[in-house]
Amino acid sequence: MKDNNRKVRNIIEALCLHEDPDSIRVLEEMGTNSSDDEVRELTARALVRKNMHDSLAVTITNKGKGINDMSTVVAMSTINELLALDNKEEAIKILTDTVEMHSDEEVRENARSVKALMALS
Amino acid sequence: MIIERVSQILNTPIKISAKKVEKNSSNPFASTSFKGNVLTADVFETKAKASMKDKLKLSAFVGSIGDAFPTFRKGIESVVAFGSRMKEGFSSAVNKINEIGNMEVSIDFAAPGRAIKEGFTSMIDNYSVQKLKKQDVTSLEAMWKDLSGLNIAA
Repeated sequence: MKDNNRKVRNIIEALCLHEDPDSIRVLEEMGTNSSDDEVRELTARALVRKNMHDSLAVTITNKGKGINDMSTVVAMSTINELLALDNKEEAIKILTDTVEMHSDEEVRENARSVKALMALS
Repeated sequence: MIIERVSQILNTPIKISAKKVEKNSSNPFASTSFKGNVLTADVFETKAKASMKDKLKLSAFVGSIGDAFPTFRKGIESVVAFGSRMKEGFSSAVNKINEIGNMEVSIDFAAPGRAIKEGFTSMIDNYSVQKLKKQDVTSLEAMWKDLSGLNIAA
């Protein structure tokens, strides 16, 4: 069980480093939908670290994923990873679009808060 | 007897007249002192069957040996100088290292061991990140699904 967790962690890390854009799909399907909080947290952080439009969009615009996750630990870890990005340009752009155009009020509010934090950092 | 052995070791004839020393020394401790170099008679332990007089003579002889044999004295000095140079060199090297880095210098002997262990583990572990990232995404997805299936069964 412990060894399986280590293997899953390494697979998530490998997908994070993978250059194939399809790795984002696998991370979203397998990771962000997992019932395991730790797997969702690792996946959200991996998607943020990829720092690509599609990977960032998964963690910012989807209800119940990334910064909108029901687990506070997962949401806060994702926000920390966003704040730690060297290049925040794409993340701020997606956050701005989400604040202005997303249909869900809660998602818009979360995006607004994170955008304010990123502006301060 | 002892003087002869010392003479043999140094390969130098030593001529000491016991009578002469006695005549020139009214003070018995004077013979133990030669230009400020004093050796106590106690360094000659009881194993040698020498009389007190012989002990004093030999003390005087050893005390004066540096002056009596210039080559021998130079040898002693060069050894001392070599030790001093080594000490100074080592101190200055440590000081320079500290000045350059302004930090403590240490050698971590455990690090190479850890690196070898990690390298070996990575070599035999098919699930190391280094190996996994070389595989295609479809394979990684299949592996993840297999592991998730195991997790559910557990």
